[in-house]
Amino acid sequence: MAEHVFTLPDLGEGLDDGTIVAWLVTEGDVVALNQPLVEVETAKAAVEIPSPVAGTVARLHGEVDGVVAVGAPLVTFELGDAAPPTPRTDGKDANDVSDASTPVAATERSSVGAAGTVAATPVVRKLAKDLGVDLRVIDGTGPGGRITADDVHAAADRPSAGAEDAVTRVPVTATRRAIAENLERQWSIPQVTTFRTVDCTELEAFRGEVEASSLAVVVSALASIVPSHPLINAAWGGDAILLSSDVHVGLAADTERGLVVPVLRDAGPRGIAGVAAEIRRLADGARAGALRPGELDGATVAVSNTGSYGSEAGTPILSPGTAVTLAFGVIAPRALVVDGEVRARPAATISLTFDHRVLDGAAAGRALTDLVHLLQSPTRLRDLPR
Amino acid sequence: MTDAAQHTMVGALNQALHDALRDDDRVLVFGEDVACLGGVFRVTDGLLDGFGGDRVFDTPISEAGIVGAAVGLAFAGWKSVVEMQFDAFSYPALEQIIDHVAKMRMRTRGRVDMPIVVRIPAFGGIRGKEHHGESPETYYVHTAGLKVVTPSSPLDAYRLLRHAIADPDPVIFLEPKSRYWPKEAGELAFDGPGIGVGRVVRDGGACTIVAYGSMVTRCLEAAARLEPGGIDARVVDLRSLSPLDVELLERCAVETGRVVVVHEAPLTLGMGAEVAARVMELAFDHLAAPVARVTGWDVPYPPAALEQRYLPSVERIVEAAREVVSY
Amino acid sequence: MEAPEHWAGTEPERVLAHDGTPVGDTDVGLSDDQLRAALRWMILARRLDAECIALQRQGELTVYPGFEGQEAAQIGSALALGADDFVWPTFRELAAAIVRGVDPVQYLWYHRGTWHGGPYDPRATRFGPICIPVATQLCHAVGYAIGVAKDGSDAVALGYIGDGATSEGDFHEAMNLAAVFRAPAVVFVQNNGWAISVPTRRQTAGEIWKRAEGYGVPGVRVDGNDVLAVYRATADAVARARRGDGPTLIEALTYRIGAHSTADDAGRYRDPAEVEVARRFDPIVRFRAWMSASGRIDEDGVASFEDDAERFANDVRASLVAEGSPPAEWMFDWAYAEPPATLDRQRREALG
Repeated sequence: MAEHVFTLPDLGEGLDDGTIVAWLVTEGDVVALNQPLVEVETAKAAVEIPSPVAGTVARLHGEVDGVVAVGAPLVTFELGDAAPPTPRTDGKDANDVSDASTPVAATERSSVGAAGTVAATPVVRKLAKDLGVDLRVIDGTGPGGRITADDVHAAADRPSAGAEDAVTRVPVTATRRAIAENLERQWSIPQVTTFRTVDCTELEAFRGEVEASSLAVVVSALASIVPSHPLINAAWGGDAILLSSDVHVGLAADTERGLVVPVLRDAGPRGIAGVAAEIRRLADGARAGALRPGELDGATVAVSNTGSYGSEAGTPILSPGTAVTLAFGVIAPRALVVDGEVRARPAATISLTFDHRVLDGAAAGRALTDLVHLLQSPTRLRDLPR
Repeated sequence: MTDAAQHTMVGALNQALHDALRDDDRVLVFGEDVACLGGVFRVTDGLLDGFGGDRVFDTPISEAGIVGAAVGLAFAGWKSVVEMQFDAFSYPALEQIIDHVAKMRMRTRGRVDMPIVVRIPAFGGIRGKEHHGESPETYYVHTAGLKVVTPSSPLDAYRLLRHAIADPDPVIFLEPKSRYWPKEAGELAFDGPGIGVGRVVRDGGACTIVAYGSMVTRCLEAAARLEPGGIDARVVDLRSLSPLDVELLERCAVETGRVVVVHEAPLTLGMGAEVAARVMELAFDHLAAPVARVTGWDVPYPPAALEQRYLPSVERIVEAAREVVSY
Repeated sequence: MEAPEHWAGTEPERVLAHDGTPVGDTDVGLSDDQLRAALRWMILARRLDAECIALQRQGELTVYPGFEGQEAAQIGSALALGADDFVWPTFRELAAAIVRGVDPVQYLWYHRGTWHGGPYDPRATRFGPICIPVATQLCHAVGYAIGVAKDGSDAVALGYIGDGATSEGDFHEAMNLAAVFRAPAVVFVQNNGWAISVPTRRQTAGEIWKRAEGYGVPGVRVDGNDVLAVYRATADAVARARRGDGPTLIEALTYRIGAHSTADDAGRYRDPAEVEVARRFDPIVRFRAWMSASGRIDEDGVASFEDDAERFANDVRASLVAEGSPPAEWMFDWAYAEPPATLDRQRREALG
């Protein structure tokens, strides 16, 4: 005997259940197709439900006033030999979504951009920006070559070679930023540095005599050779080389707030004592932060006293507005060959960086040679006008 | 060698209707004031004389009836090109468009085509009265079964309208009123990109400015203004709002990493929302900045005295592009 | 004899009195065979309607709108149409559909939730998609009528609506367009007294057929439960349209015996006594009485029709409950002639 379980259908539109008002058949009754079985009240209407099959009522599910959920058994029939109605089974219910379909979007997403773009999520880009990491140099390890946050962290940590906690971020001050931007700008100038060693035996004696620093002697000597080498006191003007008649020497000075470059104006006419006094005034002013704006620009040539911190030689970057910047290293005993013999003499290395647009190596070398000769015979400077 | 002919969008649309009527004797043109008057914007000028009252005819003021009749005419094998006169006047026909025009292919299990073109002069910027400056595109784009297009130039207007009339599916054809009269030189030609294809109208690598209809010209102005500052902006004319050329959006977003979307319609749920979402889905890993939207405000379209304060200005577009580029 | 309240006012055209007594010329242009066929269709339709309600209660159909009491209105009008004429139905014209040759099982796909609109072939059957937004299909009827006229065909479009739909703007727009273009169209209003819960008197303050004059077209009020009168009024209107004389508005007075649909409970707004009154004007009882009295059919003949109806209903049930769900592909197949790339992607995602 076939059995057929009739479940409560949705009698309205989207109803959840119905209340049994009255059974119109009893168990054991033989019923015909469409014979009223039960009266059910829903939220919308009271309806009689006709039998979906002809057969014998085997069981009534639910009591009068009881609530039956839509889809719950209502009546079980015995059908005799007749087959119960079954929908064609040529396919599963179209509403059955149990076999989750595979999203296809992910595999179709672009993984490689055109030149200059890399795959990284916005949050990774933000991280890279914060850590100063250039995404373009990283090989992403994520899906499709995507750069992950781990990739960025790894790249950021690379310089400290595994010392992962050793990096301390020091915020950049306005002065530091100005220095950096200034140097970046100056670095773009094609510049070359040339070197010479100065035998300072006489220079040491001379500066004691005139009670001046070696820097003051160098500045005076530099100013004195400008008339013979006008290109070292010049600037690149694009369509012209701008030769200065006055010698204003920029002097790199280390201060608590960083590098400042006060300008010693009119170095030529001052004489050694005047130069020495002006250097002291400017150095004091720079350390005190008391220099006026006019005292910090307008250099036509510059000198960096790298010896002041013990450095033997430097490769200075051109100061703004100049075609030549000198670096004067520390004066210390060195083994020099004098008259064919090796002797210990006080000596220093002088470096001359020049704007190659303004002058060539030979011209720069001639100027440096003259300067060295003058520094090795400094008494000549005593005759300079006061 | 002669100079290429100059065309207005009105003239190009008129020529497209003329050529479609000539090439296909199943095409009909009807609507309010389209026959004797030639349309309030003269887009249908001369068609009555050219093709007779059987194929070009005036109707009562009856937008739902006009579109509903076009549905019945489609069952009888006719291809209707109907005019809604002004954007806001298309709303009485929304029920017909949404319930029947858009769904009839589905409702007939593919047995009945709906080759209907609903022409709607749309958008603002012409100092129009109220109800004459609306941007209704989202209503139509959000209705599956419709195609929605809008040209930005005369030559493309000709091409798009020819494609729309030839399409077996219904097309909402939004005509930017503010671009009706500027001229463009060239030959009117059917060939070229069809529906569903956008086009790059200005190349550039710094960012992509996406627009359509009336706003394309403003975006080109903005791009020209950005150029001296070193920002080389690409401008994309979507042309087809549905189907959307998502492949073009993806490509441009990947290549430039920065996207600005511009439209007259209010911000919320405008085309910009869809463009931004598609860009996010397809080019997320390549974005260098959030997608920026430059749109009308979320207010009813204002009177003529204020409409330029409502519409995206060249300045607002420039500012948005600068922001995404410097992000 | 007291009649339903919305039948008051102008006396409708009538051939048979409520008891089947002829009150007009019974020669409406139907042969005896055609008259017997009409009776048979009415009996089949009523039986099918009852089966559909049962099928809904058994979960085999979703909401179903019954038409008991409206058999004469639907069948009389449908029989007056020629093969090339096109019907634009509402959602309650199952009786007209089977007369026009629509497969009832495919028709019932609609109410089974298998497919929308016209699951059958609307072009081949000349029976438009089932239409729920009331009166919208009248605009289609008028457009179709204009279209076939342009092709030189003498086909006619007939649009069915109910009393409630005459309040819609689309009713007015369709009537006006049809009149202005002299479209070969017939607008057939089945005034069954109720638009869901709102009675005709609160739907319109005048008589529906009289609105025709305002549009400049003929209007007819006919007893919608008199199949002969309905046939004659419709045949006249169709002939007028075929001649090129334009549209006609027909108001057929009938009665909705059942609720609006199986989701409705008429007991909340309608006095059951009113239904008992209406049952006395039953269209099948009336027509059968005249057919018997005039010797056109006997008890055996009626019994054979009832047997046919039983088999018909059982066959429809058997075929319908055997129907599986439609393939999910169908959702995507007919959204556009050529699916856009964006939709193709969704199709693959949905179907795997």
